[in-house]
Amino acid sequence: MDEKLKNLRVRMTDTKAVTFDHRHKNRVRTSLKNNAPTKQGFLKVIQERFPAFLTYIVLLVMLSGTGLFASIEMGILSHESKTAEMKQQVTPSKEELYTNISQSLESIDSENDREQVRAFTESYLTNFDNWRISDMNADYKNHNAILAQGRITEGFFDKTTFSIWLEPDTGLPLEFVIRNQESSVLEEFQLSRDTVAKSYKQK
Amino acid sequence: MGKREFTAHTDIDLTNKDAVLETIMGEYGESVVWLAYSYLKDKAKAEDIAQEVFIICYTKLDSFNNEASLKSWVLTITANKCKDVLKSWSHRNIVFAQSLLSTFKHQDSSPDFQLVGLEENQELTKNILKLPIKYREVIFLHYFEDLKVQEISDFLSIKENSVKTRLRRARILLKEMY
Repeated sequence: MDEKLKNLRVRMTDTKAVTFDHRHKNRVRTSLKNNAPTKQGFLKVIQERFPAFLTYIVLLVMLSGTGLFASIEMGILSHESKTAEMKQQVTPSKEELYTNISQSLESIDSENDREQVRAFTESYLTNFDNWRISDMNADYKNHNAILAQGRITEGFFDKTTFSIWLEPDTGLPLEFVIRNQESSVLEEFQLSRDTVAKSYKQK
Repeated sequence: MGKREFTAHTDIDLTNKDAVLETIMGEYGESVVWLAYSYLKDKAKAEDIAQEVFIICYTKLDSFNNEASLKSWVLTITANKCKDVLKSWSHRNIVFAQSLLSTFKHQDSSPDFQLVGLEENQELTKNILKLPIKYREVIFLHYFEDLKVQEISDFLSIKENSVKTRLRRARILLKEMY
């Protein structure tokens, strides 16, 4: 091995892998003359530091994201919590909606109407698996309403569907419609104008 | 050559900085760029480092201790500069990215050498550059710069026995490559 390593300078420089010639010397002279760093100056600094900056930015984004996520999960972030609370208020659960409907029946003056709604509610809304809140901002005669829709799985109305529009604040049933598979109306109910008007006035 | 050049330079007027610069670039330019290349294994970086080293030498010539060898001073600056680069975050990041890239491309992660000259010399150069850095530097200083064990010991601030051990192991490793 010693034999091979003899005259290593001659052997390695023979490969011309790297050189220091007049071009490099001139660059040194020019740099010193201009009192500036070697070639490319600013560009070189950017090239050297850009990967580090990029990594810091990515790390910052990741840490911020993780922090934000943790804050939301732990409920530390008050604004988000409030938003969530508001959202919960705006979107009542089916149980809450059912309770509201039941309570609103007392405000219906007409006994006939009240019984019709009670029968509908008890027949089709007690099983929460059979219906869902379809639209929290449905339009009902130019008023905001909650639209709930479901299916009827038993009795005469088997394989039929229903839709019910509710007053958002009170849960008062404004109208419901039962349709068969062909979408023909089997039963329809509309709350009297007076009761609806009274409900809107109370708001 | 090594012994002579590693002794103090008495025939240079250190007050004439431009003259010193021309002298050291002419006499040690090759040594500096090759030392940098042996550390970094990157032609462009080695050439950049060499230029930076001579700028540092020019600007810090006042701090040069005249009792030491000018060549030793220049090479020490080069070695320190290269070690700084190797330790730098950006360099390690680039090396990591390159090795990752080569893994995806199923290529050898060793640098892409563009060598000319005798095939035997090319192979020797490649093999030396494949050595771990602590073996590579002693081989380079001993066989390329013709430094004696004691000089290498002073240069690297390690014990002479460590230099001898590293040289022996480096030769064994090189032999195994053939």
